[in-house]
Amino acid sequence: MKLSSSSRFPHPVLSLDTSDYRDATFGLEITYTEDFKLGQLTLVCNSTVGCPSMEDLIQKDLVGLSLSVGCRDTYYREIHDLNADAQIVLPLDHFFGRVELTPLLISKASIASHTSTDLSAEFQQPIAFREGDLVGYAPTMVITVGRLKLEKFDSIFQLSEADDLDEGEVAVDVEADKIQIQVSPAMKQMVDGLRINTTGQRLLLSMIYLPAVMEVLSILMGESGAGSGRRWKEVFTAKCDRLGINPEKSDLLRDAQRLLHFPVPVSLGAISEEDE
Amino acid sequence: MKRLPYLSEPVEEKLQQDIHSNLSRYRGAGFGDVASRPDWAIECKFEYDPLPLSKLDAENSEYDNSLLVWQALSLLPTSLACEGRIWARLSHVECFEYAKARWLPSADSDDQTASAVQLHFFATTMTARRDDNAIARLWWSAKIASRIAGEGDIADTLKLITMTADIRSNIVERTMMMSRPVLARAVIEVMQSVPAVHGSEAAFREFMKMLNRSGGGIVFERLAPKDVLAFVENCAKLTVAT
Repeated sequence: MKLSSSSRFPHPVLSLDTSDYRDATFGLEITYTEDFKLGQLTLVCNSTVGCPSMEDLIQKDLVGLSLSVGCRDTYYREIHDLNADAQIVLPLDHFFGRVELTPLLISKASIASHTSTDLSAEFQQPIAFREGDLVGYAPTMVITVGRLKLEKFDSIFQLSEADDLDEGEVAVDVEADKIQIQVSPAMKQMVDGLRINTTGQRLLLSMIYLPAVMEVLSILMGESGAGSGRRWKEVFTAKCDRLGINPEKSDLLRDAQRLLHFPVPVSLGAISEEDE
Repeated sequence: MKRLPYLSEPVEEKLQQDIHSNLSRYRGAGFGDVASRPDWAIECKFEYDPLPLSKLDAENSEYDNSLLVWQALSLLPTSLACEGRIWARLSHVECFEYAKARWLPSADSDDQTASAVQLHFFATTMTARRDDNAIARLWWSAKIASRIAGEGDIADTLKLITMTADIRSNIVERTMMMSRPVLARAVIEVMQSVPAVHGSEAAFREFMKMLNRSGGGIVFERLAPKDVLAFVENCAKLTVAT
């Protein structure tokens, strides 16, 4: 279900996208766990309905809380009603990568005449809801399910030689299945020399990978479609989703550090251990 | 039944790098001589029936070939079907002759063949899996038909999906709409009863726009199937009328 500020409804809807209710809110906190052994995805929801008349309808069991669960990669899209424990358990096999969770309020029965002081002035006449009407929704939350987000960063970067670079220059090319970190042939030899031991690898995290990740974020911020259809984009996006980073609006330095698990102290540690 | 094999990551990567130097293999006998190497044949826990895959034939329709892939792999978990190295293995080994005959015309230049190999023998992204890989494409057509058909027979839906490349892309690329079984079922039914809605790319786009505009906030999952059908029929009527 595609819901946005441009969605139009024949009845009032409680949502940030509409101004149908005054000073009213609806939100759902969702925590999720993946049990690879049991093959289960468990979603635990904690709702907050800041709208007395809607709370009243929920208490009277006339409106129910549901969750729209959708995964583009696997063509899964279903609406699940929340049980008393506000918990949904689904087979992990249904999902791969990004999973969109949209909290919904749906009428469970026909409501012939609903009036509320929470409604905006436009709706002062009694309102009728049919069974199954969408009466509220909260912003969609994206989680990443499966092992994609756990893939090592190394698996999406490749160090390559580029003859046209100035000596000492580093460049990033995203038009391949792996992000190409390009350096001159002489510099590649130096970097390859560092990659063979742990100290060198720790140093490279800040020297090469941190600016490279910043550059990738910067490219995505300028052009969200960059890297579409490339393998690296799926893994990179999964890692961003996991940390709640929106690549289109990222804080380059901070988010690059978060994605690399704060590499600067790791590199500094390598230098001080070497000095000792 | 056999365990489903897949390529190791280094093997897949090397194959992608070496497409040009392997062109004689792609045009010839393939990779049978290396297929049993451990890094070429990592086994998943999932077991499948290899026999239907041996019957794939590029001379047959996409519908027939999709059904064969579905016979062999209908129980493949969807999350596993998103692992590209399974499809790369099948395209390079078990289904090589089909993939070659279907996607590598013998008159093509080296560059054309190399591009076709990159497109149809690997499956590193969602689009590649769904639309391009020689075998994954057939599986996804059947998978989507099965999601739409629910408990019913997939034959009619699969026939429609595989009728033409245009119809297939119209259906499978509308993920938001076509992944909602109750709505997708009605759309398929209306596409069958009112062919004008998919007579051209422009007509289908208009039909989809009409559905989006009119159905944006409707919880179709809570409606009776006949009401969903009536809604979609009305959208089709309005589309054809304009």
